[in-house]
Amino acid sequence: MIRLFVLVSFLIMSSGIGFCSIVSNIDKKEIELTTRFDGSKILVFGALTGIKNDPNLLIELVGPKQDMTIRKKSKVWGIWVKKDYAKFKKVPSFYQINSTNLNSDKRREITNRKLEKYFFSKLKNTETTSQKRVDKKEYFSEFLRLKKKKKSISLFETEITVLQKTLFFSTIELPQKIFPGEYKVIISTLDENNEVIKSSSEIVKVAKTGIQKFLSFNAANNSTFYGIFSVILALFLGFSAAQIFRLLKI
Amino acid sequence: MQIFLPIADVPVNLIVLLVLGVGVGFLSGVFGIGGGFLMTPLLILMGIPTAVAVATEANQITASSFSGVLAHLKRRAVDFKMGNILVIGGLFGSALGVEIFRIIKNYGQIELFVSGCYIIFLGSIGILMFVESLSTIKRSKSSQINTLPRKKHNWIHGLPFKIKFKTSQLYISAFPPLFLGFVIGILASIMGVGGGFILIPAMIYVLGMPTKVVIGTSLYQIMFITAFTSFMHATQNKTVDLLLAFILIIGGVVGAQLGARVTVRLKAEEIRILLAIIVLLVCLKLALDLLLVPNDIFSLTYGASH
Repeated sequence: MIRLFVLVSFLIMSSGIGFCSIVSNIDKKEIELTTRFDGSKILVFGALTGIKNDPNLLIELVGPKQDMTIRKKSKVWGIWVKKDYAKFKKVPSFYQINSTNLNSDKRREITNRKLEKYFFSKLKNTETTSQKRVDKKEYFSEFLRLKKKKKSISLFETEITVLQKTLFFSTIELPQKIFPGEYKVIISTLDENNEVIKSSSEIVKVAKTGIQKFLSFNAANNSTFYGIFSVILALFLGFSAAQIFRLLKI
Repeated sequence: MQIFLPIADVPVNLIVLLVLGVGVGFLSGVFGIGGGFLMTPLLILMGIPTAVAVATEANQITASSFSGVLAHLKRRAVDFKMGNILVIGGLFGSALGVEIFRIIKNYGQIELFVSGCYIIFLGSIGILMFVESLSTIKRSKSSQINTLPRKKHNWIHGLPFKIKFKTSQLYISAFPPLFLGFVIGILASIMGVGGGFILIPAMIYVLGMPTKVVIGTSLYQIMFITAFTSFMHATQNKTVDLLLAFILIIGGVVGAQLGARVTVRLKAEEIRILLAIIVLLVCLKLALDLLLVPNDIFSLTYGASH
């Protein structure tokens, strides 16, 4: 922590004193997804200058975009079958908003705006097997519930701490299952009407490494090689097992 | 100890997975079964995506059947000619199965489809095994020996394209083994099983092969078919998880060897009833998942397939 504040003080000094500016940083620019990866915490910190009142701050983390499908089960001939579905085109695989102590009206307003921008506007192809349209609102609220359950969406669950109206820090907790790619951290100061005054952003690169990278890269991009490799590995292990147990029996 | 599987994209407990591998391997050592028909549904119940469980289990069976074939080769208990014809049929079956699998997967119904297949197969095998072991116990008590006749002449022996199978001492049409191989190929690719539980009785009672070459020959076919199936799944569906396969192979090999050693000390029929009960319980769990009101009627998946 001490090192962080020394760094922050350095950032303030190097940025110079100007009219409302943000300097920010994160403690991790790169995250490695290994076989033992068990989630990660990112510390976002920085300093504000030129702000007189208590600042209203917002930190967002927007993960790499993915298509998603939500399906609803219905009973068909006594069996529960996935029947109707709705698709989301390119929505953030992970999304989190942290804020300073905003009142509930402001939170609600920001939540609605952000969810519309990142998620609801991406809800496409709401179809059913009988060609009827599904209830978009119902599917969207279920989508949010499932995303929250998977810990891949978090809205105003973590606060931003502000010290002496200038220094701030907050944490973002990434769950065990995250997608590789670029995670954008956006730090914004808001005015009374929730409009952005200034913002700055940082990038966290999340990449698979080691055996995770080797296997998932080749499975996706060199599937012929991967297929042959999987067969050879199986034959080799089968052969080794036969040899080892033959020797043990002697 | 949690590890993250790269293709299945789920975290699993390494110890639980190893115990599962050893456990199913042990049962397969005791009963001389492949274990695929138990392992695949157990993986699905553990939370591994169905498509990955099926494709990866095919890969594991390649390893276990290869080590089995090597043992049988030494005893010259493999009918290569018969094996090769079964393999040819199997390759077509497997290619068709993987294609069916891919289409159903794209419609998002692969869980339902595979569960349905398993409920039918586990249900019928479990009941058959249960009834058979019960009657064996009864028979052994009344000490009557009653076996099915092996070489029966039926319509199958009247088909054209007859081939001489020296090792099996048979002169039969190539069509029945081709068709049998074809069916096994479909089963392997859709359910992630070796298919020995159908192949072996069919070889004995339908083709009329001598029992001493049946296991070696079936392992020979299963090895080729599961190798081809796992290659096809890897290229068509990209669902073979090598890390998962590696762990299962290691666990399975150790379990099978342990199982093979304790066989002599246990009474076969009684243990077989136990296996029948395990099979029926897995079947029941899969059936209940389809019949009872699900915990969550909504589900979320990545990707924008149908």
